[in-house]
Amino acid sequence: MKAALLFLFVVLISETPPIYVVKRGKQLEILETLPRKKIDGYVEIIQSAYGLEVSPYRKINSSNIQKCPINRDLNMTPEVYNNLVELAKKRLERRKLLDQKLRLLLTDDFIKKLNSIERKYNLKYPNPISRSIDAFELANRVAVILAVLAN
Amino acid sequence: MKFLLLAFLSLGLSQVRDIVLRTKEKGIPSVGKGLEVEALVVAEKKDITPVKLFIVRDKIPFELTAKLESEDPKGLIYSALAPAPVKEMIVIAYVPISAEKAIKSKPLFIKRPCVQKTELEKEVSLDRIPVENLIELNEGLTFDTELYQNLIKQIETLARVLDQ
Repeated sequence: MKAALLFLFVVLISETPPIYVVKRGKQLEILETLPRKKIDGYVEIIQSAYGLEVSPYRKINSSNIQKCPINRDLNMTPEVYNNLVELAKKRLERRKLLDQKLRLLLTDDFIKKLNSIERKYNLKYPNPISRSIDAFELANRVAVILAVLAN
Repeated sequence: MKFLLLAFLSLGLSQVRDIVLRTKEKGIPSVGKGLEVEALVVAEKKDITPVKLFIVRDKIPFELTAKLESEDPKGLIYSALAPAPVKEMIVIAYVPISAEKAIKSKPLFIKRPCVQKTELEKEVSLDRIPVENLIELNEGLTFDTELYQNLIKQIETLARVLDQ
């Protein structure tokens, strides 16, 4: 009986407790246990491993990561400059056409399905996907949707 | 007796000794592209399921289920494709052993050294635009075009899958 109790004790202490992702200021931290008191800088629980708590979505602007530098190593003659202006015009037109194509694909029924997947997988954003959603935000949200569906 | 049963049950399910996370490639792919995350599971059993990846990608949490890829002398290798972040991502692998408990890995922090872009290029007047701004605009528009093309492809695929 003693051996059984000892064995049970070893099993119980060897189990790992749930994890919590906590946001302290700008940093995300992983905690083994939830702090009992609201401590300095502690903002909110983002989520436990079992989906107990969910954070609100925040637009990414808090991190201190720098923008990647752009290669400006060009021999700039008036001709190169004019060609670059023409190129920019064509690229702006192309982007506009691609945006129109994207909006046509975003039918009401398809948007409804995307929002339903986000709800099912507990993906929290401040606004549901709509036809006027920014392409950059949509790309990020679709990437996550594809990942959760594929895995 | 109940305790003994529980103890044996716990032992059977907690055959995972350790979980170590790593990324397959050294660099971080461009935003949204697949970043392969591998979990080396040191276990007595030959097949541990499910191995879950808890991910916080640019502050959005979600979970993926990793698939068994191969067997390594050190343990079992599970992997999943996660979308590369805009800025940062935290991954934790875990194997649930009960409704409230899990064996987990140490968190894997993935942070870009610099950010490519976080929004679409704004439309500006091209009349006498300064050279630096012109180069930046062209770079940005190239990125935007690729983003739109990839997004359209992904949406067409998704629409086909969801229609089935």
